[in-house]
Amino acid sequence: MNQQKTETILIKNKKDLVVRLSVALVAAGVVAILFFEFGFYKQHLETMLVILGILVVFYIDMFFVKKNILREITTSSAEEKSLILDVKEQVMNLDQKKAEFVSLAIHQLRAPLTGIRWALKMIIDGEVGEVTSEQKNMLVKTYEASMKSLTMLNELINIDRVDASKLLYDFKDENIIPIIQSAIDSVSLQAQDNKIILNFNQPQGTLPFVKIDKEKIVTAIENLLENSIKYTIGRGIVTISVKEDSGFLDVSIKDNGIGIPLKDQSNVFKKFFRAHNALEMRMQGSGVGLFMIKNIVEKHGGKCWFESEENVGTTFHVSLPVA
Amino acid sequence: MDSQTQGKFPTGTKVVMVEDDKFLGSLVAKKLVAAGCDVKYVDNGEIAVATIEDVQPHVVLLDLLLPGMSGFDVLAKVKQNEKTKQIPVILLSNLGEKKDIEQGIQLGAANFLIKATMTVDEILDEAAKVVNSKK
Repeated sequence: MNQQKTETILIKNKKDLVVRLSVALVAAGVVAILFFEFGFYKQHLETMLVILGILVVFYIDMFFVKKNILREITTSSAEEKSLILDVKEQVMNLDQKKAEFVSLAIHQLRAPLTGIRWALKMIIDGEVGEVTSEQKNMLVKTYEASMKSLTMLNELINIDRVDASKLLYDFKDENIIPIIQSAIDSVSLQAQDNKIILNFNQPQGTLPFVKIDKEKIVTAIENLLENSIKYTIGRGIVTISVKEDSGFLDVSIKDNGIGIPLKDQSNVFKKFFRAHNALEMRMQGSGVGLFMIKNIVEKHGGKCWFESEENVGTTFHVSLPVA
Repeated sequence: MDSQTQGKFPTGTKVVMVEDDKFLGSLVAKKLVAAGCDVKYVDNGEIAVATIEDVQPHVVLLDLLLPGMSGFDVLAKVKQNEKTKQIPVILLSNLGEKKDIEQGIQLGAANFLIKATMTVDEILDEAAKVVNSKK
């Protein structure tokens, strides 16, 4: 497979060289005719110099292309294989170093925010002395702002995690039902607070396993459920279903919430995009959740899409290939 | 004694708090003292190992990124020592990668709490849960 790829690159480069050579020869011919046959240089000396300059650059470029091709041709297939493995190892090392750096950066950014939150909470609760109601109001707003910063930080961390190479995913054959159940459990309190009923329509028979990174799929489903709960105002119903469809498991999350306006639908999976109705209703969010979910699902070879009607509701689908 | 924290811990509960960020450490320690605990505060890994053996606390709240010996190393030493291996240790960190949590639990931590996602009261609740389950 790797050898085939290398051969394709060589063939492409050979063609590239032939095209460049042909163009350069034709150009050189035209210049020579203009120069010697028609005495063109007498009237247009500057133009001729520019053309000659371009040709020189062209030949130098070609020299390097040829050199590269020769180097690739002389590389044996065993060496090619070892080179590819080296590159793969280097990518993995880079990913690992990036992950370590991000982990440390997260720690350093979280630490001061933690101190701010803890101290504010103790002051608000009157544990270090009385505060006036005006002071308390201001402190509560500051506390909420610190919470928002923390949420944003966590979401940015999630983006970095899903942007990481597929090599860092830990794929295993898993049963999707307990994974969905775990995501439902983690949002059940939030649903209760928002007076949302969560229904899980479990399939009758057993479903085939899917090859997934369990942690990342739980994150994706949790995020979809949180969105459904957040954008369904008062006494709504969120229904989770799963079915097998042509070699894929289709997990759907249907709500009867505010829906996504038609004009915004083509942008919902873009990083930092937020729908107009959500912004108008001043609903908190950073616009990274759906970008992250789509990215996770696609790294599994799956698809993520939705159907939505404003003021009626939205159904999000996550389809994952069967193991 | 603070009304919110009153009665969370049995009388005479001894806690060793290991945290190099003195501000964070002081906030947790203040609440623990308000809850009636006897708190020994340490900001260094090596001293923490000796203090835990010496104090024989009911629970240890242990940060991970410490100067010198890391929290993981402290935990490993506590769990290898016959005199301290039964003492429950709660890891308290702003690291929270899956591998960190797995490593902590594998080394014998009673729990792994991510500081940024919790309030001090919630940390005290978790500590009290661990202490009360040992009684």
